[in-house]
Amino acid sequence: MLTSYFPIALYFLVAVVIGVGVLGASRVMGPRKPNAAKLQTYECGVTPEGEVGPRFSVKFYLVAMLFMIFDVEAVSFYPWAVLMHQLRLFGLLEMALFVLVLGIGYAYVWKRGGFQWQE
Amino acid sequence: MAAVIIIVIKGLILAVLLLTAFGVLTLTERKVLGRFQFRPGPNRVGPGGSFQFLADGLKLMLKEEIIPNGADRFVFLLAPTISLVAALFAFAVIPWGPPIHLFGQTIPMEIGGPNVGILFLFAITSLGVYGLILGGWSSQNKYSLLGGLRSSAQIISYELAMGLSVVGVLIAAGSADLNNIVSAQTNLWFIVPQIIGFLIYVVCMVAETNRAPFDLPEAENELVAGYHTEYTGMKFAMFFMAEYINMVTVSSLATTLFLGGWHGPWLPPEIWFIIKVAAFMFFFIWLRATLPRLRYDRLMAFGWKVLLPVALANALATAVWVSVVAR
Amino acid sequence: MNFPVINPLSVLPEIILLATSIVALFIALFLPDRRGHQLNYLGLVGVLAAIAVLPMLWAKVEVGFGGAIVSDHFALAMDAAILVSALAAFLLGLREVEPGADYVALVLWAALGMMVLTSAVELLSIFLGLEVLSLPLYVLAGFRRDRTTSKEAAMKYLLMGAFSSGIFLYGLAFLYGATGKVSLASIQAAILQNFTSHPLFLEIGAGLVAVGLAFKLALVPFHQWVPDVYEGSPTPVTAFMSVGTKAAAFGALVRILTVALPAGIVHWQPLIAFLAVLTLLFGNLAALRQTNMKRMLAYSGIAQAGYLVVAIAANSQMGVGAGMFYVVAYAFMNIGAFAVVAALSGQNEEGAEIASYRGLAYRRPWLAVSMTVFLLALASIPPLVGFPGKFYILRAAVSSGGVLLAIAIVVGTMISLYYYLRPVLLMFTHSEETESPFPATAHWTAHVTVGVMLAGTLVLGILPGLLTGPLQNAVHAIYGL
Repeated sequence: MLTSYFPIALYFLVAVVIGVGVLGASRVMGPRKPNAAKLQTYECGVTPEGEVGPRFSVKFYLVAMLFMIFDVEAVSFYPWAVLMHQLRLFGLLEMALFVLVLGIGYAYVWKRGGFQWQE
Repeated sequence: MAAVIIIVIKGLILAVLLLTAFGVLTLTERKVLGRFQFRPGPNRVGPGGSFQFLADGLKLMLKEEIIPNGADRFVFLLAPTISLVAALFAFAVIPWGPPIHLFGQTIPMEIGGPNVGILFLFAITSLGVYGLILGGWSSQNKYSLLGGLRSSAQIISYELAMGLSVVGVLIAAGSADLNNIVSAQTNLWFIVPQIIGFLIYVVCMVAETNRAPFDLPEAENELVAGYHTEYTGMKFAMFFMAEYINMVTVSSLATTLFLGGWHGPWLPPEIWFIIKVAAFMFFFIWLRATLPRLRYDRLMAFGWKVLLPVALANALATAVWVSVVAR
Repeated sequence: MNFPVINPLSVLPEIILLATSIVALFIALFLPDRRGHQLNYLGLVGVLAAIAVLPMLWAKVEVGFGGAIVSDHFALAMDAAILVSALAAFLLGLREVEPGADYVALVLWAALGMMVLTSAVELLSIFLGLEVLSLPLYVLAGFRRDRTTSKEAAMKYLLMGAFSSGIFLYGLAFLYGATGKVSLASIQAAILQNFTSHPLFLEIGAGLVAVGLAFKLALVPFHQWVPDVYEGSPTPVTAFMSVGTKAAAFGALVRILTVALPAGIVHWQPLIAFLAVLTLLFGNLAALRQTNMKRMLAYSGIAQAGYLVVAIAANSQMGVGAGMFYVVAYAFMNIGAFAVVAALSGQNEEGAEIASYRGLAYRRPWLAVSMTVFLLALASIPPLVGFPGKFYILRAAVSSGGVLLAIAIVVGTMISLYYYLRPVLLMFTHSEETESPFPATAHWTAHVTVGVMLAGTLVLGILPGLLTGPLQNAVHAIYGL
């Protein structure tokens, strides 16, 4: 079982070596002449203004939470889908119940404006 | 030991192929976009501009590395590395041909084929989000932060529908192993019974890779360049590479799941695989040339309110078909 | 392939709660917001239906989900206490929280989690129950988003709760690591047959599990969140969670410690006894200084949890039975006290000061008398339900040799007399003020709650035998596993 992951783990090392190698190569090959203006963050050419860590919309948190919930639900479909041919009607009924619960939750979130990006 | 060497060689070949594909794709994109816009595109370096990507690569390699003041240096360097590594790594489970026999060994044409291949692939591609958000956060630049947040929100929103859109395929194939999914399509490509799933997947695939018309994170006119504003030289190129390799990966997955993978008549299977992926790549470029960018709220609403329920309904309909109608 | 037998009967009350919550959410899609509070009655009906099926299930032990869930007498008795507290959340909720579908669903889910926790006999299901009970309660604690105290309560509860869940889960992992089993019965068997990988893992596991649940039970020194959370949460939620969570955590603690981890081999008993004594003394002493009714009841709740844990520390069938009796007793007297607080608080008041109860007996005799009864019951004055409750615990402690525990109980009770009797005195002291700080009327549901709890406190106080018989069965049920 785990042996099928061994090649993948090995390839991961290859990928990491390439990623770090590219990073390192450009460090070695590129020139290095920093100055104050160069190190400033880019704001369309004018001097950066205001706080750097601005507050951002709470909506992003909401999206993240909804994603957490629905992604777990989505992943729970996978084993069921793979076994669908064996589960047959039993599996269908189980999943119908699951989707019913999920669907009402989804409709509720929709009604409460959870998917509304703008108020 | 021989097995380890074979894997490493395969891995290196794959990585080189992917990076070459990236180079060729950037050139192709510029050429094709040029044609779309009635101009020749790059045509100075090499015959017909065909060495342009090498020149670009060399130039980026020789550029100065700038880490802006106040940036978190470690995270700043980590972010593009995560993006590139995740992009390269995700391809590991995609079979690009039937197993070949060489020197008395049977060599499968993928790095590894775990029985949860598709889950693995989604897991790794979504790691790429960390690259974007960490890059945006560590730059100490407002626009980068917003760009990173936007792209994360967009990617995770479309990931849901993407995950659900392939459930129909899993039901039809009865396996999450990509090799089994390919062999289940010997007679009939899944694009026929799973056309709705395919369409949802294609939309999500474009959104997942932050490509036009879903390229809001990089909206030049409002966010400068999004999460990679502060990245220069090769670090910028790494994000760029990751984006194009991801395009190849999601296209390959689309091919594997819906277009029968490497199955095809007359030509060798590997060629078929490349042809199908290339068609998707052209589709990406075509979209970019044709469609304007979406507004952000519409983008999110489309993902949550349209794609998600349709994908769910498609999964259920497939299940009903398999368990009630077809038997 | 083989599927585990699910047996819906084993979770019938849970199914009823879940179905009610889903119906509530569904109706909310079409109900205008201003009529959302009507869903509260739906929640009430759901809880009553769940209570109604409990006697039907009493006849037979149902095992479900491949042995992960057992609906035995112990679970059903705890379910009854939990459902009664959920009932209070709905009855008292109408005035203070402006309930909508979300309130109804959250209370039902929390109750569902509590019930799963008491009937789970497998580590993963136990953790599932704990999480399902915790998450809705975090939200409920902050349900009055317009109040700073409520938001503060939610934040504190979330942080401490998440922390304790982590510790608890870590403990479960150790138990699994030691025995390689997830079902409590097989863990016990593995321990008895000495099939454990490392004895220390068991000790650590038992300790972490006990500490994780000690957070939920509000045992000292894991109690710091309690006063703020109880005070800041809307009163109906406080009433619900103070009783429901304790019942559920008590159930889980009994099942894990006294049943699965034989005290002769795994030495959790000193730890629990130590926590119990600390809780008893600290809770009672700290309650002395409180000037706010809800805060005082919060510290009293800590002390009461101490009595409850003494029952576990006794580690005997008698102790478990006494603890169960005490959970039921606590449900009646504590919810009753909070019901009076809720009846006396209006839309926007945040918990009443004890001083403002002065002269209440002359203005609102019914509520003042009820409050007196509840406070006297909490102080375990006969013939109210607190007395037999504490008597059974005392007897269990003494009979298993815990003389120190018994002394701690007596000392704690004596201290508690002061702070329980002070509001009573105040209520019956004539006050010059004609201006009452309380709203003139309470919602009728609050009066119903007070009445029901009063009846329970009196009847079970005079005739504790009504309850001890069935509880004896329940004790046999869990030890028979």
